[in-house]
Amino acid sequence: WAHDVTGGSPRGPESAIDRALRCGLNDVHGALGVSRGCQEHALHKAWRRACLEVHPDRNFGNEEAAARAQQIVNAAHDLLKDPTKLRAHETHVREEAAKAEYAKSSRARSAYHTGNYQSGTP
Amino acid sequence: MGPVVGVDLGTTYSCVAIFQNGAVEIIANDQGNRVTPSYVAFTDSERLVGDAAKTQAALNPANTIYDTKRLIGRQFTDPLVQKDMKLWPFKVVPDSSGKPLIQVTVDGAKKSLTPQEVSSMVLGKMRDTAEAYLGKEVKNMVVTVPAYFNDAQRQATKDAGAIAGLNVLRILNEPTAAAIAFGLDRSHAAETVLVFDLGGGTFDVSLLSIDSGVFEVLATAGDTHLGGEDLDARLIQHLIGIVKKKYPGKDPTTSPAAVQKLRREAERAKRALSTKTEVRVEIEGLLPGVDLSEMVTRAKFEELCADLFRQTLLPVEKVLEDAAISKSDVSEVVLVGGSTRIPKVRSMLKRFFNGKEPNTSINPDEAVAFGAAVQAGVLSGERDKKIQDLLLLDVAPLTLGIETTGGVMAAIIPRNTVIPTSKTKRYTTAEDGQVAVTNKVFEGERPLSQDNRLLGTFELSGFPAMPRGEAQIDVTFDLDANGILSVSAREVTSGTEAKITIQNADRLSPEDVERMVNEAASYKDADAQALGRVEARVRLEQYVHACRKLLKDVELRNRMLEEDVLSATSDLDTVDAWLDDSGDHSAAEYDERLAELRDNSVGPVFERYDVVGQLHRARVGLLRVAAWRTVCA
Repeated sequence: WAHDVTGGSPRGPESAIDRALRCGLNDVHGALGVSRGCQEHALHKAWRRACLEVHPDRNFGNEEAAARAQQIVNAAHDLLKDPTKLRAHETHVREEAAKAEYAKSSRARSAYHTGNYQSGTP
Repeated sequence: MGPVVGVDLGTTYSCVAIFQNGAVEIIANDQGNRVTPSYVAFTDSERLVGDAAKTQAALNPANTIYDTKRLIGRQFTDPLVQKDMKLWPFKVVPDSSGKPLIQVTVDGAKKSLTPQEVSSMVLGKMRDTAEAYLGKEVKNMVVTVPAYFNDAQRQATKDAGAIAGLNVLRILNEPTAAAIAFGLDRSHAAETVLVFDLGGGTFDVSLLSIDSGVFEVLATAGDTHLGGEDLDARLIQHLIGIVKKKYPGKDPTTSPAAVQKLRREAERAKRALSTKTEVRVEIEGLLPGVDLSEMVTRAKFEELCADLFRQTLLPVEKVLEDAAISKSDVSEVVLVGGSTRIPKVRSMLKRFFNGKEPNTSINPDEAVAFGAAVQAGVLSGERDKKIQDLLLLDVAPLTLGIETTGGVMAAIIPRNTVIPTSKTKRYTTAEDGQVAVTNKVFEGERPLSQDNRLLGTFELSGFPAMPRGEAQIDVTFDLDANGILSVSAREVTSGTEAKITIQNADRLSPEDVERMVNEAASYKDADAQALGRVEARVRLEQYVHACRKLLKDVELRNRMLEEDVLSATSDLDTVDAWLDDSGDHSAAEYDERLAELRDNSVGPVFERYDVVGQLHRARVGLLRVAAWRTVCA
């Protein structure tokens, strides 16, 4: 399986790459497949397991998607390790979602100044 | 993709290895040596790389280049470059953009080489070594660099590979490679390992967790300018002081050849002091009328280098602190690099780790190439049960950030972040209708950007004019598995890709690389020409030699006319004189002389006595000897 490009049959369970790409950083728990509030040891184990599945060195022919997935699991791991970072990130994700909703409902009024802050991973 | 080799491109020595049939083989060069000096020399007729270049260093100091790893990716004005230059017998000059160029004289003409080009010659030599052993073309390599190498140094190393016509599949960190060599055959119990890599020119410390084939770097630190060469330099300074004291008015530093002799003897003495407690340094004729004979004790050497030895403990403390791991949690302290043979280094580490004996189970000179070969095997898709579960998770050694208000550095990718990684930062405009934003990217750990290294200035443009604060420009910093940065940008509101221009980056442009690739190819032609010339000369010499041997044959001499003997001898003497007193000729000229001898002068004489068959047998015998010599040379 180490060199498997597709990562599972079409009807089989979702591959770790697909899962990471689907969840992105909007759902950092989902990206690593861990539950909210999991212990540090379990978190590290989940991250390592994800690395073994998504790392570009182990996904020949699919390096680009693998690299993006690896970036996501790395960033998710960084956030989940640090409760302060995680809180700030989740607040930011919620705000962005609300803002997108607002922009959709009233495209004419664009009153939000985003300022100079980090999006994605603080 | 063909074979992928692993190359440890060292400051002083390089080493090449390959993973095949489930095992790593260190490949010996044409001299039978498992490591090759990272030396390049230019003589009037040829270019020498490796052992041949180092051997003639004292005779040809100004045109013998080494230590390029100390120049690569640095600016000419770098204080370390300025300091190193004082001990280099070759000339270094700045180019128009402030990067260092090495100047040599080839055929009476000055020639400037970038450090990348010199490194490409060493990489080319390692490729040739591998090709000779494998009997196959080698196009792909994993090349190692010190873990603490910055973006410019990594990029420059990659460029060196490109100039040699090689595809560098991965830039791998040296201590990580060494950790693979250490951990590959160990049991699967999880352990925390500290790799202490003190080489010829650079020093790295990495802390890793090794668990079931996964090598996770927890933290890394180091000094890209600390190694055996610096210890040699202390010894050289000490010896120079002694000479000056003994012979007032004499200064060895004024003679490049004398410095080169001192360098050679200092390195030899340093090595000897790892096993002996004292050693005599003897150089006859260091300068005209100056002989050096001096006893150096291990205690004196340790005193001369005491501060350098102490410096090596700082990165050890830093990685433990960064990874929040205590000394007692480190299960093994693995020694890599020739300088870890020094007893003082070992005793200091042992004391630091509360009496824990450092681990010397891996070969300090070959471990890095060994690990590079294993990673090369992984990247070549080699299916082997030994490496199928192997995974390296390395980190960024330096913090990457941008300059914000007041010259403060804002971290974007903190050091020890696992790579590959990607971070996005959102920018906006400060003025109405602004259509460009300029930012500076830095790397380093200091809070003020001016104290860190400027990677480049990038300008974002190409997005529509908007009221201030309205534009939302997402700038993405990507750090790939090689630890090399790339930046891209997108304006979110309008959905346009912003254009990014990176200025004053220490990178070669694609055009530069292309030009150097062509030049390197011309060297290949020149090398082939030199080889052709040598071979033609050998053919002629062998013919002359065979003829003389035949003329000594008693049976033949008894039936030969005296005048035939005299004319043949005189023709051979003429050619010998021509071979002796004139310099290098072209292959065609040698062949012309050979044809003349064979078809017009001595050849027909021997034909008359019906001994051409004998002559031929003598020649073939000699050519076999010559071919064998060429292989061994």
